Amino acid sequence: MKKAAISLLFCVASLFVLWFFYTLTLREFPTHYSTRMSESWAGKDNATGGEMSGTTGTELARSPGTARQQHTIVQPAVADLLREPWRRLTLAELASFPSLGPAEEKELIEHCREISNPTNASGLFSVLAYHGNDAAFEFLSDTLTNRFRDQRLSAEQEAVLIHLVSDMGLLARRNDRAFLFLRQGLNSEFWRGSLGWLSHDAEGTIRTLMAMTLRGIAASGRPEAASILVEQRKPDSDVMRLGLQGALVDSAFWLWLALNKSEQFYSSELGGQGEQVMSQFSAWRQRTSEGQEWARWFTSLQSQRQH
Amino acid sequence: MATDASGNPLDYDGDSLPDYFEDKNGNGTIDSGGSDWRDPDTDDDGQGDGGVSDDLACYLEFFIPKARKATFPFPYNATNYNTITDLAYLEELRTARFANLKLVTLISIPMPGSPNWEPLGYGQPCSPGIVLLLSAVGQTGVVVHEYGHTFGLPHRGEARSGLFNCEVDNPGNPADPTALMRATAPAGPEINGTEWARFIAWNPETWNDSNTPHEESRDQSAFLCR
Repeated sequence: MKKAAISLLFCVASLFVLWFFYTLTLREFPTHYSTRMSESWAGKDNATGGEMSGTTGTELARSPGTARQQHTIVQPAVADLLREPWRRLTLAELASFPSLGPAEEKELIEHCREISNPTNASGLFSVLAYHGNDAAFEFLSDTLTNRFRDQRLSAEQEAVLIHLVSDMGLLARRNDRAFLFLRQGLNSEFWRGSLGWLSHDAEGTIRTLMAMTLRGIAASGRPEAASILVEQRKPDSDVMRLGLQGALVDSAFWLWLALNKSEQFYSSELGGQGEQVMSQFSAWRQRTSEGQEWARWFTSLQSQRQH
Repeated sequence: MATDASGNPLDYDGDSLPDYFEDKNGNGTIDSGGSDWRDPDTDDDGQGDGGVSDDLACYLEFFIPKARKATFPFPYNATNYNTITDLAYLEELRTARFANLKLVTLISIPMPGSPNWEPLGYGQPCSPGIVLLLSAVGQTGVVVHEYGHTFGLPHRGEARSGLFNCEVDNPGNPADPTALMRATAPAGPEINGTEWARFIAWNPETWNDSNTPHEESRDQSAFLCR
């Protein structure tokens, strides 16, 4: 009888200890957040060589969990995004993502600010570019030019920021300031003066940023972008001086797609599927007067090099 | 040949292949490379037996000779044609007529709003030019997969909108890991009836021409697949 009472007491005590730990940990950080995020992000930090200090699995695990308690966004797509803010959405996913009101835009920006490693926020960046407006522009342009000032970034982190420049074109579809930003970015001096982070290869990064700027201009789908791209063919343009004629032709194609195909086609049927894109590119180059003209120009550059 | 009361060849498993065809030597068992006269889907791939979407036994042999030259001729010897980051350079190299098959070090092309496209190889319908990653040559089926694209075979399970005349729909299961024309690597070794018919009919033009630098256009009638 005494043995049974002791066993019962032991069971009750064990249950109490379990409950106590539950209230301390799992309630504050929901299990699926804390486990998955600390694992994945810790992995990413290792992969990038941990050059950005202060980004620990714990810190990262905490922000979405606490955000969930503090913020008001409840739409499933947004909740998914906050669960995996590093996952770049496909164009089709971006197109079907719910539109952001000013309050939601602001909340997503706050989430972004909480993440110190840009690699871990690339999904948030793309949603802000696709659906944001003025506040998103201010945040994204600050991210590119100021936020990581004087910090040494890993190649992976740089790649995320460089990609952000072409994503800025998605924002420029409806935001004039974003379009103006991209127009300025066609001048290499603009990037020399505003490149915030320390790059392993500053001149190479500036060249890549310019190439992505061209793609951003194209992604804006603005009719005036056509003449801007043609202007870059002048031999004294920075685009030509840096040997970006390939990126220029690509951008003319992307702009043609944006202007002539539906958003559904652009985002869902092509949606970054390279082989479909190449088929369209090949057809554009051969069958449209615009594409033929760009192809002739591109080919003529080769013969000029020969003489 | 056994027939039914109407004079039609017997088809015990109802897969549209007559019994005499599925058991040619009449021994009642499955012969090597054949299908089972008692089973409508011998390889259990969900595509039945003998249809255009069913994988079949076939022997196709490909020889890839040693490259004629270690480097591309001018102007393709520029870095942009070996480390390819633009659609324009990739297409220019593919259509260059100095060789059908060009091997490069890297293809990584930015796609607005999407991650970079990094294929193992690239071929287009109705044209014999292929660009391949040097590192992918040894991977199962990559060369033959791209070769399949050159005569209009889309990926398994894709119906194409007919951008080019020689393209056909390729029936079957897109997720089939055994399919050679599977969209995502790694692909398997198998082809279906549609693919087989295309493979044996294709007789590509040989490109070894320094006088005509590019395939200027793909004349649809001239390149219509035979």
